[in-house]
Amino acid sequence: MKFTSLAVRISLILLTASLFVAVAGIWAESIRPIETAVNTRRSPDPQLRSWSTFVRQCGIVVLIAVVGRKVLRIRL
Amino acid sequence: MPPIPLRLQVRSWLDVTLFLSICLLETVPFTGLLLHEWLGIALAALVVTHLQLSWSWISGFSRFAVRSPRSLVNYFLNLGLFASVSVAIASGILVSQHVIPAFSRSSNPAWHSVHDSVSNAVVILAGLHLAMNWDWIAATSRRVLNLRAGRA
Repeated sequence: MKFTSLAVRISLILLTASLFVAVAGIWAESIRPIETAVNTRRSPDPQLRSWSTFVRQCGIVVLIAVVGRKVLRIRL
Repeated sequence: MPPIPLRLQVRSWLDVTLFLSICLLETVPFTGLLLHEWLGIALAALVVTHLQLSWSWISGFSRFAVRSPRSLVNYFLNLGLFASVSVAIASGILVSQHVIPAFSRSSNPAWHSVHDSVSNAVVILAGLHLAMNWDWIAATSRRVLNLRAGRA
């Protein structure tokens, strides 16, 4: 019974995710003629491999959280 | 102090792992592409587990009731985050060069652009998700860390 419930939950999660992916697929098809260049932003550069990029990224997420918390507290 | 339930401990450490994973996934120069791709696939399992552990909140919200503006904002924020993460993982698989290269040979090049856009959305929405659950995170962190200090 518990396993059935777990399977149903995971199926629901995957089904919802696939719906979003399908919408994104339509989006990707619509931008196909414009965006044909191969992305270069994500190719790793060994010279840039440092902890500072990771720490900076953590800082960005926390900063959004701190600012978002203040804004949401005022608005909601 | 009463002992912390195992479920809460698992959930809090899972959330820390999710936060670090999202930060790592956004820093491809730091991780390299191979680790980035494997971490992205692992993120799928982490997200499903996170949702599974939060199921009572998800199913509770779906029942008919009058909702406060805050809980409505929280619901749509979570839905947006889930949508962004789902698309980021799926598009990541489609543009994968090391882990599943078979897809990237035949997939639409526009998936690169989709992957970049939704990844940026994930960072913003994850930050706002933290903001909405800040009090829970602060309270849980205090409990978990106090217990650890007591055991030492």
